Amino acid sequence: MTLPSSSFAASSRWLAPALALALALVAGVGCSSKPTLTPEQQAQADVTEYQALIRKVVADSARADKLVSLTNELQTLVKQGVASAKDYRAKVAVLDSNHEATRADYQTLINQQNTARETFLKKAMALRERSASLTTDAEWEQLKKARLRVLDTDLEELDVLAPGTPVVLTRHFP
Amino acid sequence: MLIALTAFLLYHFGSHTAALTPPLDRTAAVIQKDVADETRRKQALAIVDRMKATIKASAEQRSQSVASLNDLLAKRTTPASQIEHAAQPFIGEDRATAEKLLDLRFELKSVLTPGEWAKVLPPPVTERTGTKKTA
Repeated sequence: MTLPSSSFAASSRWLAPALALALALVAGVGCSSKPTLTPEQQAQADVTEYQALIRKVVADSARADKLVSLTNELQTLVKQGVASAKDYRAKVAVLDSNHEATRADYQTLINQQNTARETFLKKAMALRERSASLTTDAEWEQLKKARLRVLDTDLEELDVLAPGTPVVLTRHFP
Repeated sequence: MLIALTAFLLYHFGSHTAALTPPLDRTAAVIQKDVADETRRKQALAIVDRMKATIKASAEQRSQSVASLNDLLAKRTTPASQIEHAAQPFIGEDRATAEKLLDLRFELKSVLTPGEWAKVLPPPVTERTGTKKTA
């Protein structure tokens, strides 16, 4: 397919500066060990990279599309889960600091968290089942080892790797 | 994605214990510094040591089960019911540990005055934003 000349001319007007910018960026990356991406840009780049991996591993584009969509759902779920956990911790911390807090105060919070936990776990399990049904064993093997760093960052906010935290996490992942 | 999903599940299996664990080294340091009465100070520090032991035992118990749960999560064909069944010990252990930590929290309260308590477990600061303040 060829471009009409007017379109090409229009394209070339931005193409040259764009190429120059790209070269400058490449040179910049070459000179520095750390790319200067904002956290938002880094997160987006990470998601894009992960989605590209899905499309590389899963050749069937219809299934790949669904898996990409599931990744987005997981991202949303993790963000909600992290927010809920942080809110729970904050409320517990307020009770901890209150000398007059009662056992019943804690129990109310714990019961609320039990309900929230059940909901999150059900959703997470459903996502897992849908992912499993969309992949073959071979695809699953390749995808399960890939890390989605943006979600790691979200989970790190919960200090899941902090010393003393009883939940033993990523060091034991398959 | 699957690693994050596993982390997410495992975190939620232990969410009570994680929430009910105060920064124990800091707590002990403040007790050491701010509780003048020696008898009560020793009692309070002993309670903090028991909190640490409870958390350590919980972590050890969990680490024994986490490998088998990970094996199940890693296998594509593992049915949800089997994972839920395997998660029950985690959830049960989390609840039991949270109960023990709460018992110890109220035991600690019984040996500290309200003034000491305010120093040992001060009100939480506002949520961190992820940006560092410069002086």
